[in-house]
Amino acid sequence: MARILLVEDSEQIYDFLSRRLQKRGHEVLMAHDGETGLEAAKSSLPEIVLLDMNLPVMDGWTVAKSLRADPSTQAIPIIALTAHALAGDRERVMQAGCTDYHPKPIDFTKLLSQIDDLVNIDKKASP
Amino acid sequence: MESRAIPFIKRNTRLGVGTILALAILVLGASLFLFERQQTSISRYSEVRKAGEAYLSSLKDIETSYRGYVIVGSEAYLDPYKEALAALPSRFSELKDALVAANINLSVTERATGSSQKVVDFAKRVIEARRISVEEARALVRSGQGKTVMDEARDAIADITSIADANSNILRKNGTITFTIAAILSLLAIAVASYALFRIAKLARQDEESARLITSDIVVNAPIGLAILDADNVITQHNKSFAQLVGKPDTSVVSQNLSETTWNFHEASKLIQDGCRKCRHTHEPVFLDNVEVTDGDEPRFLDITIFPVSASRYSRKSKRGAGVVLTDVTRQRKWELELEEARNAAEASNRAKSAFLANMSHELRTPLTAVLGYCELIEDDLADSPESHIIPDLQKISLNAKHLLTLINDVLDLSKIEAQKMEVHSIEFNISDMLKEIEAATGSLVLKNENQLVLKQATPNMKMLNDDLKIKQVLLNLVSNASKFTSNGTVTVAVEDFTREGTPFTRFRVSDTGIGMTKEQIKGLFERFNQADTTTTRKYGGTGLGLALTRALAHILGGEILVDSTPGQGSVFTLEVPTDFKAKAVEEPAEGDGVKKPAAMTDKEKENAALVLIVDDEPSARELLERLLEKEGFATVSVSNGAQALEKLKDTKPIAVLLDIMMPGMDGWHVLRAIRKNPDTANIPVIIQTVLDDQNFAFAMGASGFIKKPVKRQQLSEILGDLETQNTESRALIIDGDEKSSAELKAMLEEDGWKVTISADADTAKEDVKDEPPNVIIVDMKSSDMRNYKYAKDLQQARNWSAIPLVVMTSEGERAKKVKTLHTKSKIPDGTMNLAELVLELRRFSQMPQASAESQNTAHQIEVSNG
Repeated sequence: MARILLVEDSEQIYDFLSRRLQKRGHEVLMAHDGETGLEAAKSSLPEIVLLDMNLPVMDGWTVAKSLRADPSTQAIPIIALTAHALAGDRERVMQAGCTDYHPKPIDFTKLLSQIDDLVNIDKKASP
Repeated sequence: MESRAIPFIKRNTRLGVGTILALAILVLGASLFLFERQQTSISRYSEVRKAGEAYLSSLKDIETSYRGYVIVGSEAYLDPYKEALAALPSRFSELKDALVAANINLSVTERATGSSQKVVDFAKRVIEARRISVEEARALVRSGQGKTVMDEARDAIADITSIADANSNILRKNGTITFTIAAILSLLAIAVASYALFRIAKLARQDEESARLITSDIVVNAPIGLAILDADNVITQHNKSFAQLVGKPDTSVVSQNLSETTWNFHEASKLIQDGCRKCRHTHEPVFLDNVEVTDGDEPRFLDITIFPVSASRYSRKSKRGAGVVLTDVTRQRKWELELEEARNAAEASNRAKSAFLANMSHELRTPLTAVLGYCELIEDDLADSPESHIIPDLQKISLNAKHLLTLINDVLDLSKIEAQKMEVHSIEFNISDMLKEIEAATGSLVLKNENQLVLKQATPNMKMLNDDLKIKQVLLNLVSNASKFTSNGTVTVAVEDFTREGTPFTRFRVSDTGIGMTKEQIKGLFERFNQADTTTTRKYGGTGLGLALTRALAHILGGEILVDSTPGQGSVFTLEVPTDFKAKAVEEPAEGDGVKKPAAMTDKEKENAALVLIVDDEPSARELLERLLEKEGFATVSVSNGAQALEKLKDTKPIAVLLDIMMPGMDGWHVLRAIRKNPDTANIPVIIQTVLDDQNFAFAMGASGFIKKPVKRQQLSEILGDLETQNTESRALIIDGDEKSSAELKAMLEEDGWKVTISADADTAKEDVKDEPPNVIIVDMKSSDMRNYKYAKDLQQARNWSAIPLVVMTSEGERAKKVKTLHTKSKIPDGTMNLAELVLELRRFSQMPQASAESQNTAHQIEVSNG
């Protein structure tokens, strides 16, 4: 199971999401704004980051760019959680440096498989 | 003066005069004829007299002859007697002829015949007697009988001649009177006719004169400017309105040369000269529409017509004069503009409505996420607990929440399409893969009503280059509809290729064997919230938005959706979409539905990072510019006229437009105005390149640069270099107060193409926006906290940014913000609005040309918001 950093400012979402992820055996670290999220990623080096794009203090786009700019974190896969679901969002988050994209509302089953895919790929790529 | 129709009454008068004249001539002719006949008659009467006298003279010869014989007794004296006797019958018949000719009754000759016979008889007796004896003869003569018969004959003949004389006299007298009267009448008629003719001529002259005066009144006073230019463009004649329209209302502009005028009509006069040249060349009229001239502060618009004038006094050698007609169309223009504004406003508000819907749908999704998330969480928790009987209830909550979500998603998609935010991402994909996915996704639904799904492909390995997700969305919708309304039947998806007007298309036919629909039900099927009837919603579920969305999707994919159905037998829905979306999109630039086809655009935008649009009607000029620009590292697109340029700008966003002025059809000024007027193109820099010397006018019209032809490389690169630094995206600086709404505003502004920086205070802001002064500073204040406002003000002062509008935003209720702009010249309206509305206002502001170029030292006034 994976060590997941969940950066999400909406209390309800991080609450149920973290609890469900933990139930599935994942280890969930949490941050509620972009800046602490970025610090947490750098200090605890999670296996994957679930990143809300619309964050206070520092937005998700900046967090993603910063993670990609830092050699210690640039390999960590990021799944962008966006509430926009507007056309072009996928391209934009990919450009910002995210690895995958999950539009809200969260389809938990799908999210789990996305996490699995990325963590497994990551493990396969660097065993 | 052109000939005019003679009025009706005048024509009648002329006819009358003609008749009088004709009658006069007739009378004169007739009287002459009568006179002639009278002369003949008179001469005939004198013939009668002559004949009578001749007859009498024969009788006298007889008398004289027999008297001589009596006295002398010589037979020789009887010769005259014999001659006269022989002549007498012919003389008499001559008399009779004359009488017949003179139309006198022959009865008048009876007495003459008798008496002349008596004379002859007496003569015979005397001659007989003389032969016997002289004495007897003398006695007979002395008896006086001879005298008596002779007198009788003389009388009878005198009677005849006197009748002729009397007739002749009467005739002569009457003839004279008739002729005199006829002559007088004729002369009178001629006099009258002449007078009438004289009057008519005079009236006609007066008429012509007054018509000429009316025409010249019209020409002089008509509210249409009229002028005639000679071959050198010198004004030879003009009317009042012309002087007025060229800005010289109280003076004559005769003998002014159009190329030397200094009136405010200046710019138009250049166009007119150009038109005159063309007109003289082609001998065809030249029409210039909506030429803008300045009249004080008010712009006026003129329609100008230039036409060749061939009259020799305006022309020289082969060069012709030209007529100029100026029509003031300012009012019409104003109406047009008002209409256009109204339409733009309506469109904008419709877009705003759709944007609002999109935002609202988005807001609705967030709480639903939580509802669904917690439901599933509890389901997980309860799975192995004794309370597991609650799970079905929880699943109902989930199911309804998901249904609500579908509804919201449909609304969101529809409003995205209407707000023109739906983009088409076309990729190459395999149709059979997609069909397999559809089969997997609809499997449970198909089985639920014990249906069978059949997939058919006309040819194996069919491929498409279109938006796979949207086509899948449409097909999923159609297949799930078909399964819903069919039980124990078959749902078939058949795919085939075909060609429509030379473009390859792919047809997906989804048919079922279900309940079908009547014609009435099909009508309005694709409207929103319209299922076949309301009871179906209850019985079969569904949002009522599905088919509306399906059709909208089909349209933005460049295709169409069709339906055919028989009640009780089933329905066939057919989706026809271009096999290659881009080929189709290029072929017919997106129109209908007001939906952009952004797939072509986004790609283009990337390619066109440094694209310059060249507008010039001269191929050599275009080539030169293309070469120069390519050397400078720009991509170019060239068009040869204004209309093409505007068309091009609909789907390309060049970094600059190089615009020629003197072009056929729409000239450069018109193109520039159209570019500035359209919010989508208003802030594209336009560089005027022309042989004209109108730099100031160009800038006044909103040009960003001006190059005098021939264009030099140095000049071009300098101007484009300036533009490159100028022409970056609009930048907003948010000085943070309320984290949440700042972040949200930032996201929304970025969505809208802004570059946004959030700074916590003035000091960090100074660093953050060091090199690029923002176009607007937004201060997000917690209601009572004035610090941020102070930061912003400090920042403005420190950086000499006083011209940059400062928007102060305070919370007003849940979602609304009270917005106040602390810059007197800015066009951002104050008021209460939500963030989406603020974004719209900011967009409008940023598209105004002065937004970035506003003078840095404009005096301004800062007020403190009380909100």
